[in-house]
Amino acid sequence: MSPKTLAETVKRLMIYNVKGGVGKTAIALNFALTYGYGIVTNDRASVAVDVLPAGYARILQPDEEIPIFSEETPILYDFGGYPDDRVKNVIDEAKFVLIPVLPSAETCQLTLNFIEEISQYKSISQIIIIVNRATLKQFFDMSKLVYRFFPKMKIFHLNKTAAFARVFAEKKSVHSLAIQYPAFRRFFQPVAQQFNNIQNHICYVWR
Amino acid sequence: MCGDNTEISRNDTARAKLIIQSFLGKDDIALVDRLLEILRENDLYVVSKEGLKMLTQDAAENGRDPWLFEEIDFDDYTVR
Repeated sequence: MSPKTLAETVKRLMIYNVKGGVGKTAIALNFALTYGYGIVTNDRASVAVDVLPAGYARILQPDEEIPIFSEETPILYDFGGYPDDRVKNVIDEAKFVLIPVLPSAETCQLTLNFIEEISQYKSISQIIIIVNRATLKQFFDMSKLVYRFFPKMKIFHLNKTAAFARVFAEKKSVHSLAIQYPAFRRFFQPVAQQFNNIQNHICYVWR
Repeated sequence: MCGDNTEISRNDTARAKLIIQSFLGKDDIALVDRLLEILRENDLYVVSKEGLKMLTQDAAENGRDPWLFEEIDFDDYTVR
């Protein structure tokens, strides 16, 4: 599967959590750099405009309407905060909503409560939880916790890694960095594979 | 060369389920099924620790990185 396939298949993705500091922007940027999405965000301090090429990132003002893009333009919405009408509109438009969580029962419970709310207008099959910055043991424990509330919820693992710091610094995806620095392939490749797992799932569901 | 101990959940689903069930210590079959599915969706497999050693050795001898994980302890088994 070529790296561009995800953006060719699914033109609207959303990364969202009411809670901040869960890694939304790092994940969004790696998706954008890997698959060619443009980013629209409601985070006024987002670094997306510094990392992506000119014209590929747009920061919305608090009362600004969601811009209208061509249906062929792949857009990734990187949103946080309270699910107001603007956020709900994007949730409705996105083919998949990716929800990063950190591996703690407390923050996960908050997120699960919020998923319960949005599941009233978004199919569970279009919601994906990403357990970010987690050891394998933590991922396994979080999987058990999520199962108790949403038995069929799709859940993916992202390592606790410093690889994203290089993504920001070099403005390249972990996939590109794994190729560019063979000596550090072990550092980047597992994270790249974890992104591939998410991509493969989305493409499989949306084919 | 590593035999069916290296990736049990790929080669022997019933055995992998028993290992996870034993680890959980309860008979929630649906949970075991789902956890095994989650591992597969994340490209992770239940392996024996003996098999893990063989995989590591095999990778080292062939100049490959094994990218093994050993953070989950299922007694004699783990996940990679």
